[in-house]
Amino acid sequence: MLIKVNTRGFVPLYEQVKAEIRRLAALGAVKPHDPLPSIRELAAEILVNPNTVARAYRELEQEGLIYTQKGRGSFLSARRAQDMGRDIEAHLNRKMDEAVREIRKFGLSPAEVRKLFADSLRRFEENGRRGGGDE
Amino acid sequence: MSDLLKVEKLSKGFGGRAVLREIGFSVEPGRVYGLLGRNGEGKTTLIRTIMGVIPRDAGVITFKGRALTFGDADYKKEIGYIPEDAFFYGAMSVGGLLEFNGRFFPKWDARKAADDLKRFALDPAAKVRTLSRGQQLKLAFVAALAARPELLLLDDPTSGLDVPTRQDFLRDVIRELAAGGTAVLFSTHLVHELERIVDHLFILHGGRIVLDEAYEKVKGLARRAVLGFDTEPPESPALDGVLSQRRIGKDLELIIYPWNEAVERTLRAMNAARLEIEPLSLEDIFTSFVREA
Amino acid sequence: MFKTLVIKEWKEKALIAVFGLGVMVIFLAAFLIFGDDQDLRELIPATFLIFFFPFIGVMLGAGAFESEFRNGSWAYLLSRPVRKETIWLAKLTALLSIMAGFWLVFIGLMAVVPGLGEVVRGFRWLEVLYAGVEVFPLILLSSILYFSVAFSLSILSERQLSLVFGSFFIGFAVQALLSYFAFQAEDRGLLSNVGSFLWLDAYNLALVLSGLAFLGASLITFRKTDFSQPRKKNLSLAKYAILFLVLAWILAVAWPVFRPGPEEEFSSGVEVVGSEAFFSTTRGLYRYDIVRDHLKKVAKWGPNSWSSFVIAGGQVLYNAAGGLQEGRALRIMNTDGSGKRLLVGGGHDDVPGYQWFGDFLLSPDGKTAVFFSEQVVETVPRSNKKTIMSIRTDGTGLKKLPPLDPALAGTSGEYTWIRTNAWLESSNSLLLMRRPQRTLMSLWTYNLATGAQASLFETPRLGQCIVSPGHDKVFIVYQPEVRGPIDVTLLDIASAEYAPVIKVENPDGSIWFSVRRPVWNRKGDKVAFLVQQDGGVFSPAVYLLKERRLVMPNDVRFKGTQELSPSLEWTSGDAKLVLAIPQERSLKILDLSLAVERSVPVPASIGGFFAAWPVDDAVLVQDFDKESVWRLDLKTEKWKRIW
Repeated sequence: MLIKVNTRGFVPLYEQVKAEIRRLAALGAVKPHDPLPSIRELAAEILVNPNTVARAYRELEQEGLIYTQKGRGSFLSARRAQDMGRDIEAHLNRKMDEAVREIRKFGLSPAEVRKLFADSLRRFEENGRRGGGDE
Repeated sequence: MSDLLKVEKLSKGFGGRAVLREIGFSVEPGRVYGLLGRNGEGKTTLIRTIMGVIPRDAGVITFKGRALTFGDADYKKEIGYIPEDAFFYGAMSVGGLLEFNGRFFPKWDARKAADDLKRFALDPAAKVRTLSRGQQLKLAFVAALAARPELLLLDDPTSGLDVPTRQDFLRDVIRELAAGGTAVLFSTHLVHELERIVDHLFILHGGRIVLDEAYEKVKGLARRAVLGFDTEPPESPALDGVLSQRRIGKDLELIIYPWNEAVERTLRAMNAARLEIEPLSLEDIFTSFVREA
Repeated sequence: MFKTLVIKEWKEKALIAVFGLGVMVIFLAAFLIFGDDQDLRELIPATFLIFFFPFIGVMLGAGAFESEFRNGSWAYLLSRPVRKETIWLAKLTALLSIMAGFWLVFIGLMAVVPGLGEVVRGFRWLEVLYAGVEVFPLILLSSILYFSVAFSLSILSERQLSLVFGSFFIGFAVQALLSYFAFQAEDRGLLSNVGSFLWLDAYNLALVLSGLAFLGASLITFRKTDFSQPRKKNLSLAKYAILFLVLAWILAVAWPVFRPGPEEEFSSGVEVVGSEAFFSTTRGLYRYDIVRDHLKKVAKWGPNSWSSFVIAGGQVLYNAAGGLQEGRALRIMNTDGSGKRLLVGGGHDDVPGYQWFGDFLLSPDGKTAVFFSEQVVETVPRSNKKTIMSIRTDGTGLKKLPPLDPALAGTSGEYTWIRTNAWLESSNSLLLMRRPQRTLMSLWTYNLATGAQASLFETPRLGQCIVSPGHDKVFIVYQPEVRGPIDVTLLDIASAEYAPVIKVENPDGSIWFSVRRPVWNRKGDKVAFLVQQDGGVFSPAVYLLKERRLVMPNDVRFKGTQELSPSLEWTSGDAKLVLAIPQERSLKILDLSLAVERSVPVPASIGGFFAAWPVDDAVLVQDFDKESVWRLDLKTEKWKRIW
């Protein structure tokens, strides 16, 4: 499972794991009723304490994003599109917040931040019209 | 949860020099504890004392509710010990050593030992002294875990090994953790690998435990604040919890623990041109706690 | 777990074991090849013994903790769930078993290889009394010491060479010290009043205990030591080693001195003087006053001695102490125990060898003592020139009496014992019995005034010779032909004529048992004795001098064997005879016609073998089995134990 967590930042590891699973679900990389890696496998893969993964799975299960079948493992729940949408929105918001935080380190004012965004968007549209793909 | 291991007022000195001064902490089953300390500050001494390899000068060590004496041996059946340097009999073969070792532990799983040997590609017939450091570490790992211990004591086992080896080791530890519910006390001065797996932190400095806290809490409450000034930076603010500070050009960098609103207010009140507040890596946290004042 | 540890140690020491066996093989080959040469025959095993066992002991001991020191495996072993005592014991067991293996192999070689056993057993040290101390056991014991020293030092360091040197140095120092003390003790006769060769027991004990002391120190140090602090280890070991060593040596000396000696045993019968009875044991001389019913120990001597005594004229002359000192001094005291003083000897003169006293006698008035003295010089062959000397009992007038006739004293090449028999007051002479190893035995008189000596009687086998109270006659039991009949005769001293009393054909036993206990009555006109008949039966007999007649009724018989032989004594008034019959467990009172007047059974608490001694109107019964003395009151027939 392509999950990356990092120990920098304020976000606890288990939250990052949860967020990553939500992201993958939102992107469709994991489909409803797909099996998730076992706690042991995931922990070994991303090199975190199994307790961390266990906590993430536990909370995701409480939130309804995954369900567990005894002896068979954990699986992604079938979700309504709205919920998916909400997930995507939360994900995007987070991404935005991170970007803004980065930029503010340089001491730019809100107006300057908005200008940067506009420029970036323009570059995107230009690339798209020129037939370039995602970078 | 009741403590698996509890240490109270443990003191130990060598030739008049005190190394451990009334150390106290406890370890609960199934969690991962990081014991951080600078080189030569007593991590190995502490672990050897717990393992009954050297005697303590004072204090009480309790394992599963029983207070231990220097001569006690039974409790060691539940502890897997991996030290910094390989300490096996060099003349024994790998297989011979595991067989010898197995005789001491009633819960020894010879099957697991054999499987692990295969997994690590260690030749049972090879003499221990011919193994590389990394291989010796793997052997120590096999030996410690085939005994199905309730507590793993790791005394800086990966120092001197390269990064891939260290990562492999970490992975193996994690696999065992996921399997067993073993408690781990991992002492090291190389902290970044610990960051991802540690539940609880102990920092040993000056012979005392200067931090004894759940890692998440520490991470949550530790901050680096950088105040940028256009003119000369002012004197440092009078603040509680400043672990360290330094000037970088016209900037003042403060490491603060624990962070709270009062601290934030005070910093904002200093009216710096720039104020950046960032989380700290475990390495930075550690360094701040153990930097000479 | 213990077994695993022991096997691990064996594996580690396999090389030494092989090396040792190799050396043994070389030795064996050398012995077999060169064994014919007289000198090498002794030299090769001697060299091997002296070097091999201590050396192997040191090598094994020094390597005890070596593998733990190498690459820090001590931290591995100490972090295993095994008690330190178990680790220590496993190492000790493994190494000692290898040592024991070598001993067994060597002992096996001694048994199997022709001649080796003899040679080794012949290695002796301090040849004393034709025995001597066997060297082989001593080497084994000292190899234990060296091993123990090395084993205890091996905790301190891994540097084998230093350990080996250190162990040899310390082991040798200990052994040298102990040997010095032992020699001093032997020289000064210390502890010898407690028993002969006890200094040797103490030495052996000290060797073993010293080894144990080092082992004990090593165990304590190992248990509590911090392996990461060598200095503390060294101090701890040194402290405990010295402490235990001192304790060990004190114990080694104390034990022979204070250990309960062998049971006190009778070393004589009861001698009745008036209404006092005297008897001696291995611990001292006792006096029992019949009238006051009071027992007193009047003299004390070493717990292991067979001192002898003579009573006359209110004085007791006795030979002091025991063990190696036995026979080196004569002491005298009054019969009540007072006035003890050294009469002769007991000193350390600057003469080669030492003075040894043989038999001695007191004059009936108790004023003079006569004794035999030998100057023993430890040459080979030993020279023992006997001199007869006399001294007044007040300590003055020590002088040599005229030398013994060579026919009496014997020639070199054959050792002759001279027993003093009696002091013949009426003729101021001594009655002496000559007992050579091979030639004829004889009875002699020695005139104290003139030094004239004459042989009275000669026969191949001389048994009891009992002088009459009047010093004029001797009752002699003898055997003119070996394995022939036993004759009993009465010899008149003055005329040297003898009158036969009885002839015992086909005697059933030795001369001492076939005719038992001849005793004169006080008046000196009757002699009573027992004659062994066929079939384990004794008959009493009385010889009446005046009538020259023997009374021995056919129908009076008592059961008795050589082991449980009866005894008889006259009562104080000469009126009756008291017999002790152990096999019938009774005392019998006989009248002068030897008819049984009374039979008194002895209590069950008296042992199997006993003798009876009438004193006034009581009888003292000496129980040789249970080493006790009882008193039977003849009138009331009541028994009372007095000792």
